[in-house]
Amino acid sequence: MLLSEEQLDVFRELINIGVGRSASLLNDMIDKPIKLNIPNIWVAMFGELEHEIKSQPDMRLNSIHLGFKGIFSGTAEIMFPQESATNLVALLTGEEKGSPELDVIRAGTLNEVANVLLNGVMGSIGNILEGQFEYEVPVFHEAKNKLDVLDKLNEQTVVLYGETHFEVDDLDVEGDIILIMELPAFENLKVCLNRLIEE
Amino acid sequence: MNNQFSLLDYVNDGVFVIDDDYRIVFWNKRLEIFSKLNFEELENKDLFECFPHLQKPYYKKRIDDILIGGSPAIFSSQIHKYIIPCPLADGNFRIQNTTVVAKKDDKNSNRFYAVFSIQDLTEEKQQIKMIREMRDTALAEIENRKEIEAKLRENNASKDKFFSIIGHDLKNPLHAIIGYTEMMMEDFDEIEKEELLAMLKSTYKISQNLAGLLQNLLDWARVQTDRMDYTPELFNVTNMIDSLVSLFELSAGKKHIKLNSGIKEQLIVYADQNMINTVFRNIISNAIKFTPKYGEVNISYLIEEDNIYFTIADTGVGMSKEMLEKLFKLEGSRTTRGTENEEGTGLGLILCKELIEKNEGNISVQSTPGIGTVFTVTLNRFKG
Repeated sequence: MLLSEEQLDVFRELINIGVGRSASLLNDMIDKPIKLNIPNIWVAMFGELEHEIKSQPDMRLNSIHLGFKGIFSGTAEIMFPQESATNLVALLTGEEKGSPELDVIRAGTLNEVANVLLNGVMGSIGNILEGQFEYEVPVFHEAKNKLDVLDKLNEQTVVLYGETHFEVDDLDVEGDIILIMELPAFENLKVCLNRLIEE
Repeated sequence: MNNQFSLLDYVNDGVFVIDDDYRIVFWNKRLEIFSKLNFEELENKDLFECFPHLQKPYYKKRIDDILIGGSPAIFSSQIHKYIIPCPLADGNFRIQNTTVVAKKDDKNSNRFYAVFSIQDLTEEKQQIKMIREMRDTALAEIENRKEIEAKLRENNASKDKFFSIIGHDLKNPLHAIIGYTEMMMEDFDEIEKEELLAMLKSTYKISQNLAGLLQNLLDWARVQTDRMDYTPELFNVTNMIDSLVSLFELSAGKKHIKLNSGIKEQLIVYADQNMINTVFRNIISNAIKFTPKYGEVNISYLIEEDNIYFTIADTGVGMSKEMLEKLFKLEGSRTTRGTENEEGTGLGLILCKELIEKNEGNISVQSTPGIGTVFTVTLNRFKG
């Protein structure tokens, strides 16, 4: 088991604090009540996931990637199935779903929504673990499946996976928040979590 | 000038920097052009005093995060339009995508600056708008063409119908007239007086039908080519229907059909009198034509709000669902003989529909085979 139940509980709480903060910011920003929750969080080595991901059917995804360095280093990633992304952007911008311009609009809007979410999560981790991170500028890209997003990971890479669920108006939007780090960085994260548990 | 950032004067995006006291410490040349504000007038001034809209929590919270070294913030053009108002000549503002990153102070690693990088998307957005307009124009053009094609198909059907009437419905009675008159001329001395009278009566009847057909054909052709005079006026429909009942009394009487008008009230409408007359004439004539001997044709009415609903109900042979569907359509129309072999063109009801619509009215029909048919004509009521 990569994380003990206790460590996973603390980590789950960190993510939920961050997501809660992001939801409140998004509420203000789009002036619509938005509910965000992470019903399921789990941790695995990429080697364990690869087979399962490969067996999943292709599904176009929009993802936003944020690299970070600090007390532990890695990348934070948000993935939205394209249909969910289109629904979310149409709702936020008032554009028609079928409109061809939505593709152009989608990148900018999703980038900001994902940015708020990732910043909430990373901010919460940084604050509570009392660690400083340096960040890259977030990058948006389109992928044909999850493997395309998690490209070039080696088997020993640790993937912390959170299934995200947005509720805005009557719309349900699914997405995934993923933290990816190499084993040494993951060990650093565990040290930080243990310190928090001891405190 | 804060030398730490002077290199940013050479980038193509608008860039400005604030310190952790929210003071503007850098404003690049590009942003001076965009915003029409010079760095000299903004230097060391409080960001929120200069741009009060940024005090809103969803800006300030995110800026505060940056100033403690948090992750970059993105403000997309779709959600915010702009962060710094940069006026354009047309009164609008430049559309911007803004990325804000934390920059550690070279001299004090615990302090951070927030570096705002403003990408101007005005031109891209204008291109999108232009493409959208082009698409809308193209879609409108396609719709327009579809309408023209439909009209052309309709015109083609009209032309075919026209030739079919000329070729069949006009030719046959003309041949009959020629045949009768030829016979009368050739056998003039041998024909009995009674037989001659019968032949003359037949010729007269055929000529009358032919004249009616020609009238309908001419009216229809005028409607098709938009050359029919449309002269709406106030007139008394009750009187018009009474006159038509008198006109058809003879033909109804020949089949022992009771033709009744239950319209007792003086009803005034605003429409083209000739057109409405043609409509009622055709419907009443059809009702008599398709009602067997000893049947009934009743005309009644109903006033509801601004409409008058006239119903012409017969106890005739009625029509099947398939016949009803084709009744007002030129493509499927065909002549049907009456119960006493009366002739028609299949054109009368098509003409009626067009004339009624020209007068902003409506015509509808309900029918049951073997029971009868009810035509309803709706006209706008004149309330005075």
